[in-house]
Amino acid sequence: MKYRKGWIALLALAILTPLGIIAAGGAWGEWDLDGVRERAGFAPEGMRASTDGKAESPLAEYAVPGLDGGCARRGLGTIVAAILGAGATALLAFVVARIAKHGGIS
Amino acid sequence: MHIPDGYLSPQSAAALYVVSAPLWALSLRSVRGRLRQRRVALLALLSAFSFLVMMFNIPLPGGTTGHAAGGVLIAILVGPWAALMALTLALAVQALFFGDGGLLALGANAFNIGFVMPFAGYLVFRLLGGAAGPGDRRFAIAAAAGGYVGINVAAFFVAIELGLQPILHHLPDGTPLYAPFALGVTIPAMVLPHLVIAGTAEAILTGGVVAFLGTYHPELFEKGSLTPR
Repeated sequence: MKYRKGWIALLALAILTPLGIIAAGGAWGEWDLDGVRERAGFAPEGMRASTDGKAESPLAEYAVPGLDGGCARRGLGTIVAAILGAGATALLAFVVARIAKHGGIS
Repeated sequence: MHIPDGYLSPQSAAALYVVSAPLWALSLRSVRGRLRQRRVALLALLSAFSFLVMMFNIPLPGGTTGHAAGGVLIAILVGPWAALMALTLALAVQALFFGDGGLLALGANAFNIGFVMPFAGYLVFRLLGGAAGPGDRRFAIAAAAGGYVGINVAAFFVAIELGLQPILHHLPDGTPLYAPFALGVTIPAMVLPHLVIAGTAEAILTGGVVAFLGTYHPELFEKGSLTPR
């Protein structure tokens, strides 16, 4: 496999991702509607309209459904989410770059 | 730094798609012409790397969190145009499956994190790096400086885009319709924690990995270009 050590390093990084969700609080300006209401004193109308009825992402907050309740399970869920996400990203990038180069993936 | 849906007006989100679309086209063209066949796997690896790096949230002053993105590191390895592709696809996966950054806001997020960050950082890296090569101390220091500048310029752009919303879109009585905070709030809130903490994290990541790879795998570095081909 090309860049074997690099992929191993990525796997190690994925296993460490539970460390990345320990920090309290979210990013500034990435709150849900309630978070905005809390900070601005109101929920902007356009923002409300565009978040209304929107389905939650399948792996929101980098958590895997069913893998929660307790630190160990949440941590394992994060690792699974990291591997799924990084794997999907690598595959997508590989396919897109391949198509860009050859106009096809074969 | 990932703008969620609802923060930008549909008009602003569309405008930033319009800005990003030709950049994506140039990125595809640059990958076609410049990225060597055997480096396609490296691009995929780096794209996944940026996905993972963005999962490492660091506490910032003010009770929020931030993270490095790896955009400048990727630009140094495969060039800024290929970095745009790697980062855009990581952001797309985050938006589609993880609810991190909106889909409508993907044009904006790709512009900020995928374009502004690697290009600003890469420019600084090239200016400071001069004729230094992989393994040189100056090469790694220039990379660290590029990482620091890149993430901060990107944070500044996010602050501008969010802070313009109440000016552009409000009810007749002035009540904001989308992101409700003025430029005077968004700029310090975004930029200051990045100047202090997240920028430092990006600098350490960029400089550290470039120093390591420059010493042990200098063949990985190929001189990139700010022009698409």
